[in-house]
Amino acid sequence: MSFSSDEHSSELRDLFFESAAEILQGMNEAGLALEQHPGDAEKLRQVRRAVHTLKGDSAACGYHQLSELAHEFEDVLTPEVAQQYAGSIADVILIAADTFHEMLAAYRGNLQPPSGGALREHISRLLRKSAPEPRPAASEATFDWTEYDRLLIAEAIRNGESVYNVAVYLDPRAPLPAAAFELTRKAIESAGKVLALRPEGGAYQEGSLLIEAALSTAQTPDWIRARCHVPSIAERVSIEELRAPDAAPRDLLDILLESEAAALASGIKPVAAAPPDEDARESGAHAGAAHPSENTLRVDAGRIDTVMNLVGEMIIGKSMLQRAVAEFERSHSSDPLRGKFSDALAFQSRVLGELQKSVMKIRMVPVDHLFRRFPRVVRDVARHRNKDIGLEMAGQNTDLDKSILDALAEPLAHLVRNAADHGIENAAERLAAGKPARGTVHLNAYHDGDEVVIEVSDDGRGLDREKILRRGMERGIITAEEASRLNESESLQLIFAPGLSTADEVTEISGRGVGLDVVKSALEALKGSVELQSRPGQGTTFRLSVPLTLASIQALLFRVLDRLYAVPIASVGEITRISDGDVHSVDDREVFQLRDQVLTLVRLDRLERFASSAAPPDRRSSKRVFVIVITAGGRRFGLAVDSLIGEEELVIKALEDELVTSPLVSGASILGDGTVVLILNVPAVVSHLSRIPAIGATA
Amino acid sequence: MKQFETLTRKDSQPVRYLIVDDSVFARKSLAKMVESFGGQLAGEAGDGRTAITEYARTKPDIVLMDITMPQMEGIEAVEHIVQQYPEARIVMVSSVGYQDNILAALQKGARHFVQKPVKPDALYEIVRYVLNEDGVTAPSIVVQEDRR
Repeated sequence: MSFSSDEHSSELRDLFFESAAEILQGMNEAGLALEQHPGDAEKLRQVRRAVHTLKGDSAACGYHQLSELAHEFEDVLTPEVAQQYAGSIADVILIAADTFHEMLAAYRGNLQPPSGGALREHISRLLRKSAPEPRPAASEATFDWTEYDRLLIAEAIRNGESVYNVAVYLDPRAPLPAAAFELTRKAIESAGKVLALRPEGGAYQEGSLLIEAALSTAQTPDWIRARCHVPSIAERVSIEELRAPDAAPRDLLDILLESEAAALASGIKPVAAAPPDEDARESGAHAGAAHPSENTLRVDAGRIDTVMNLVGEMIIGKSMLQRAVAEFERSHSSDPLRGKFSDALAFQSRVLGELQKSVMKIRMVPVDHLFRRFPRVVRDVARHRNKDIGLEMAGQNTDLDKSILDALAEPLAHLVRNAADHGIENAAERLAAGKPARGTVHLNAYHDGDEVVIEVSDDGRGLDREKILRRGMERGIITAEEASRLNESESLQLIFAPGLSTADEVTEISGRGVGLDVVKSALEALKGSVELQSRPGQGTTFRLSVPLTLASIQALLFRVLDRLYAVPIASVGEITRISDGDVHSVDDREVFQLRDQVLTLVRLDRLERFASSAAPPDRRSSKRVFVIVITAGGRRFGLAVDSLIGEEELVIKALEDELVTSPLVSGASILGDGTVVLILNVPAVVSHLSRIPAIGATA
Repeated sequence: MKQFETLTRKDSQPVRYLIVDDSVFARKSLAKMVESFGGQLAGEAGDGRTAITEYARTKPDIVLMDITMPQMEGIEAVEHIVQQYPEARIVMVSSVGYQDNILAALQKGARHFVQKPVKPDALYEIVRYVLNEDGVTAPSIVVQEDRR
């Protein structure tokens, strides 16, 4: 196959890699399932179909080595082989998935693909011992199509095509059966579109005298018969027209879901995938019963971003309009136009809100797309370390912005691998500790306000606080004096410090130091946060919080000195007022009492990052100030503000401003009147506070 | 020799044949056969190379091509001819034991095959089928009910 243009070709290639990734994911899942239930014939068929597709796709893309290997592997995936090697077939499938993955990676980088020698050895081992028995030729046509074939047939019929089951019985006296097969296959192919063919690929098998096909054609049965009745070869031809789709509804749904999943994997939500409803299935009409994938649009993510940006501009425009109308209402309080203005404004706001939601939805994908990789990760670690580990997942349907989800892939994989590798003890140790031999890693995702929380927890040995502190002191990250003042939670936070641990000390401190600083910075880059809880002997939980979207937030606006700031409304616990008399100094820190809790008081103008740009504070008299109590990841602190402005939806903008580039600011926004608002990065403020020991009350 | 219902082109002209075989005897007997179908001998060739030039010169409706010949084998000739004239209708003629060669020829674009010794009935059906397939003959498709 040659590509007509470079652009076309690269588009196809992208599509190929995308669908190949899906195929490999499917192989991994099926392989794991087969490991649990070795006799699952349907799973095996799934793998076979997947490999078959990969074979065809890769051949079409010119990736012949991959195609050939897939072809060889396909031969192994028969029920006979699987039965004979129930114990190892799952393993080989997983090895194959890995091998294909490596080859794909090489192709993607325009490198020479690995030969896949290990897989070839497995294949020949499986094939050698299960000498294939020649299948007896079917004497009568059965048209025993696979599910996939039946689907193609059902779809063709729904699209208004005429589909026939055609069986050509070869004359047993015909010379050269292989050539006869070839001719007959060609004849059938020339008679219409072949939806299904037996023997597969039309390849001749010793002793076989029957070729079956499902044919979509505009020709009459008589014409088909004449065409397929190849002289001196065919003995007879039988034709029956297929009228009703005989595919089970479940299959159709499966395909729909699959195509949706594929679309989602590429970050696109089918806007209106045809529902597999009764009407569509029964009408069989030309219109309204299109192939499901035809209702899915593949759109470059950049285009959606453009729309999102424009929506953002419109929100700013709306805010400008609101201000103008408010002014107009003040100056023309009796003008009847007032009502019309506010009606129009309300309508516009509502539509704009819907528009924004819709665009955001397009970018959303369920976290399952990430979670589904992890069973394999856990399984591999368990095998490698000879442990018994289960993975439980919840909340897979939680939606998250695709770009955020992509950015979470690495950190999450890291945490899951760590949990399985270092968190979970081996069976003997677990039993000795009175725990079940099988350890469990939990993955959980849920919405929490404007955030999505993903938790990775294990029921393993937990973190050793003493060792972490010792390590921290050895590495010069903290002093002994500081260490003595850290509470439980704060000392655990140390493991996020760069350089706390290196790989060779992994197991000594439960391996929780390796690259965790990387996890932390990845989360901070996403305007999110990572926290952890750990109990010795009971396990560790990492909680990652990320914003639902990077595009806009609902925020509380306030003023400190002459600057406008905002915090995400979700992080605001309460608002209170205190007077200077309520503020006490502890260890160079200001604290205040809120009911029975002592909280750190943060003054933005005193934080080092902001101090330079703010006038020196001189206005602290005995007046009462507003304090926004901010709750972030189990920690609470108070934020002293000069005045509260109100709640507003902010569209996050990238601004070139030295203040914005501060890690304590997660972004900026522009109000309708052109004022710039800085959005505080609450998790960063929290961690900024906790970098200085002995502050930051924990909830 | 048995007379067959005449195969005629749509333009009422006789079907024209190019017969390629290194054996003169084989060529003559095939020529007689196709004449009994109402056909006309457009040309003859004793080897693959000549077959190619003869095809270009005569543009026949059907080529009957032997598999094993000196100078250039039948398969190679098929490849050359089909490459240049994709519409060429070539029927391979072969002796027993050349299954692989036949398969290769079919894959190279030959349209059908017949085994030596060639039976007139079989060749007639094959030629008719191949011509019908391309709509060369008048649309007189006889629907063959399964006779067996």
